[in-house]
Amino acid sequence: MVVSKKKTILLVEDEPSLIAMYQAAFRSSPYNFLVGADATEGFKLAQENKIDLVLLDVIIPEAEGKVIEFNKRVGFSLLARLKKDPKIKNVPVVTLTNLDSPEDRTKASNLGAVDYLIKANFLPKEIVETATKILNKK
Amino acid sequence: MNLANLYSVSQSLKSHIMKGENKKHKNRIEKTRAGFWLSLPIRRAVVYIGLGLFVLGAHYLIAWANTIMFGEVFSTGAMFTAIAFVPLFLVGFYYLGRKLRKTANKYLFASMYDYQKTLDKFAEDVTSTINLNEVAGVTVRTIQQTMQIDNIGLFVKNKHYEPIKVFGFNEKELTKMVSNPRCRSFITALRKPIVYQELANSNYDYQQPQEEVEHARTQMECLDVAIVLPLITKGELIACVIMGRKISGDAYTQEDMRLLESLANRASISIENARLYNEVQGFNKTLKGKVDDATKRLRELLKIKSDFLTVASHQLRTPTSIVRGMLSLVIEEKDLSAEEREKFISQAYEGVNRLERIIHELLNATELEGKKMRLEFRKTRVENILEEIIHNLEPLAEQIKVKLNFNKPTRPIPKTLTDPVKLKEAVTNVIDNAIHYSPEGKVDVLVRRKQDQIIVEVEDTGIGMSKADLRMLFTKFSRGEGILQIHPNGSGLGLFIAKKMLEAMGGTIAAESKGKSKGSKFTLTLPIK
Repeated sequence: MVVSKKKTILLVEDEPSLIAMYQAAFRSSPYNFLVGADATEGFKLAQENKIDLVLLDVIIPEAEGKVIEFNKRVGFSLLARLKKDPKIKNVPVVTLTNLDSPEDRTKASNLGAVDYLIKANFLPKEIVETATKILNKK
Repeated sequence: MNLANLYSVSQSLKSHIMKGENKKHKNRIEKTRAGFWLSLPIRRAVVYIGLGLFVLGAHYLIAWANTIMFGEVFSTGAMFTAIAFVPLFLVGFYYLGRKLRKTANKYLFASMYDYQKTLDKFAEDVTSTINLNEVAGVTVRTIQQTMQIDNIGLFVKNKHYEPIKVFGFNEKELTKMVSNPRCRSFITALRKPIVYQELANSNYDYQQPQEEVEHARTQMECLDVAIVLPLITKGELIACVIMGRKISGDAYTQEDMRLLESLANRASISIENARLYNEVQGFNKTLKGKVDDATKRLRELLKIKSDFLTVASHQLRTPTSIVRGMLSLVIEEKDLSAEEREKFISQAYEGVNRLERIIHELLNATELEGKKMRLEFRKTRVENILEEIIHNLEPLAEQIKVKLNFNKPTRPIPKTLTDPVKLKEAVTNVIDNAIHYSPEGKVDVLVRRKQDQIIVEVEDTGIGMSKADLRMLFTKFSRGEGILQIHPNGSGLGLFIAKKMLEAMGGTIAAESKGKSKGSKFTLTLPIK
């Protein structure tokens, strides 16, 4: 029996507590877990690794040391960039955010996100379950 | 020619001239305009003389025929024959009169307008429009055509007399004359037309001081004005028509004056209507503008509010998700190390603190709106408060690699009466903001005394602000376009709260920035009490 190669999940998130929280939650899952703390790092990790699923925060800094701009929704620009890259465009992206406006939901879906999760409404283990479901469907 | 003939001829002549005229009215005009010098119209002289010659000719013709037939004029037969000629004479008289009138009219350049027709036509034209310019145009045109004049101007009275239509006259000069205060008040007091000839002969009472009448006369003479026709409605003068001399050089006749007065009556009603219409239209426009502005402002407010709610809910949810997530891990994850467990609990605790702070700011901001703040004044040394704040914020600055400098004053600053708790909160908000917006940069805090004020300056090398941002900076819910930049722990209300608090303590806060990514400088003042 051939053991399938471990799948890789990329989390793009800037809040250190949340990063630690999701890392702990995914530790017992059968996945590699990568973290990018800003859009630039996130894109770099996506290009350099074979990613199977992206968990993407929307309000993130452009690059390290940059101020977070609410009205810029840097996460959405990163999503658009990922969807334009031929190597990454087929990787499913789940928006993981605390924004909850119809406009943001529509924007995410238009840009090709497969799901839209509100961080405050989902426990870490529920995020792991959703990720597993999406990866198994693939 | 017999006497009976002559008598009937003179009667006929008189009735012919009086034909169509209202005797009563004429008498009134003659009475009120005693000595009214409207020079004998040439055309009328032509008619009179022509008809006189005709009567004379007819008389001699009959006399000649009688002499031939009866040898003398006064025989019975001759008299009866003459009477037999009367109907023929009357027919000839009538047609010759008409012919002469037409000819005089045609060649002697004096219009013999049909009074009623002119008025009817004018009424029809003037009621077909509500446009002030067109009403003025029709009025001026009708007067020009019927009176045969070139120079005419129509002025409408607002605050001053505004020229609406001016032909022939020098518009600038005429406007100057009409707006000259003396002339203006002279015209405004008018209830009937001023005729230059009447003023010149000074034989008409305008019920105004003699020197005013004289002044008006000189002014009219200067610009060659023959008539000033006031347009009056509801007892108020609303416009006036300035008329020059007739092209023919004729004077204005009494019929002319009557027609002008009738035209003036009708025109004034139409001009008043047009003016009211314009006013209503202007009012409508203003109102529409105001409603548009208010709607725009409401839309902006709605957008600001919705932006604020987006920010606030996001900022509340972030610590909520940390607390909830961390605790769920502590409870459910079996393979957490004791160390991790402790770390997660402390992070959950930190999250709750953050949540509390944001809720506090939200409530604070809501409360500050419109309410008088409760302050507890105490003699306070501002430098000490600042030192405390800097000390508290140093870990944050270190964390995001911001160099935080506090420049202490060289000479101690006297204590002042203020609320130390509120002051601390206000200044903390400002410095905290500066640190958050200047990652890997520098924040300089300076305190000095300027006369009876303590000045605190907080200067950073951070993201700076656009002019629009600066305007909106201290308002609740209104973080301008770029100001939606928010640091992870904030509610976005820090500056609004700081401003409210400082103002309650008698202080001020102002911000300046050279632009985006060029840093910002906040200047706080506090009175020394």
